[in-house]
Amino acid sequence: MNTPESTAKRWLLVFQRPPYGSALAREAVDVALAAAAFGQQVSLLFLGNSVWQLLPNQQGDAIGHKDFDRQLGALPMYDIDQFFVAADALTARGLAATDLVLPVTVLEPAAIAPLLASHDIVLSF
Amino acid sequence: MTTFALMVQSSPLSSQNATTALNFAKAAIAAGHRVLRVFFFHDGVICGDDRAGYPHNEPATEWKALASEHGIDLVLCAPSALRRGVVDEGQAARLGRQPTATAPFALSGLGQWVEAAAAADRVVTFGV
Amino acid sequence: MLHIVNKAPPHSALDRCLRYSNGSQAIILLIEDGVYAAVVGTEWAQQLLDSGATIWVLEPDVEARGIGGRIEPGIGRVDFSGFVELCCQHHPIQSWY
Repeated sequence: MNTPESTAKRWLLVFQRPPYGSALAREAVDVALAAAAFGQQVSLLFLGNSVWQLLPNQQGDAIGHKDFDRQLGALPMYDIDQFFVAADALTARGLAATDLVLPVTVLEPAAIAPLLASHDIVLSF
Repeated sequence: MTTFALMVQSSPLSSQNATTALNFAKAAIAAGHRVLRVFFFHDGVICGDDRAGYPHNEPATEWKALASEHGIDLVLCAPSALRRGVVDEGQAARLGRQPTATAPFALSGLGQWVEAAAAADRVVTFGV
Repeated sequence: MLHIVNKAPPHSALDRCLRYSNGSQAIILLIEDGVYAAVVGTEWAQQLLDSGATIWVLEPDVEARGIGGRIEPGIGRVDFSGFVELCCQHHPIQSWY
């Protein structure tokens, strides 16, 4: 089943959680993949502790999980290639955009509200 | 009239949001709006599990009554549900097990959510 | 757009909502444990007022928690039909938690 072009909308998935403490972050990636597979335009926004999802060299198998960084790193292969990160979320955690596994656009806090408002569907995870 | 797609992300015990979503759906219908689909995701799939709650899963009973009366789709996210041992009649038959969720709750894929969210005027997530 | 907060402060949900919503253009609805942020005399109620946003609390959640007499006067109250109406009037809707 393909969603007709006329119902293709702009989706923004807002990630707010770190990768392993709950299944929510992992299941949210499934939503992103499904929306893209059904012809929707999908972007991801990383706020707060969700920026930890983007750190390279994760070894999820140490706790019996799949590596989160690899899951996220594969998203561009599924037509998801717009990634946004809040600048203050990075600096508060001693991170830089160059540390991350995806090519992200870093946004100042004041740019987040216009980003949210420019999408048809905003989903939180 | 406004159309809604609702996502419920928590079980009735771990968060109040499942109850909030139910009351929201009732109010939306009372005001003449339409709820196209409620998609139960993550721990939200427990809302449709007849094993939850004792002696009855009251929220499940209320959702079923509302859905039957007003033609709302109640979809349990299949990957979320299967990870938590929640199966409807169809999946139970396939897996050779007893169903734990009953109609109008039904397991289906994330495509059902994408379709509803894309079609609705408004999407509301009821979070963990 | 409409911002919904369902966590009691101090919590990063309210912090993020205030930091990333655009002041006077924002509509903020406090639900579930989020209604505690509206209690008069608290730093959080003050932050909400100072943000310039239009603030609402969900009345049934306020009543359930016994804080009906403690809500900051500058904050409006809605029931579930008001919650639905806010969702109809504003777009998109972001839940913070």
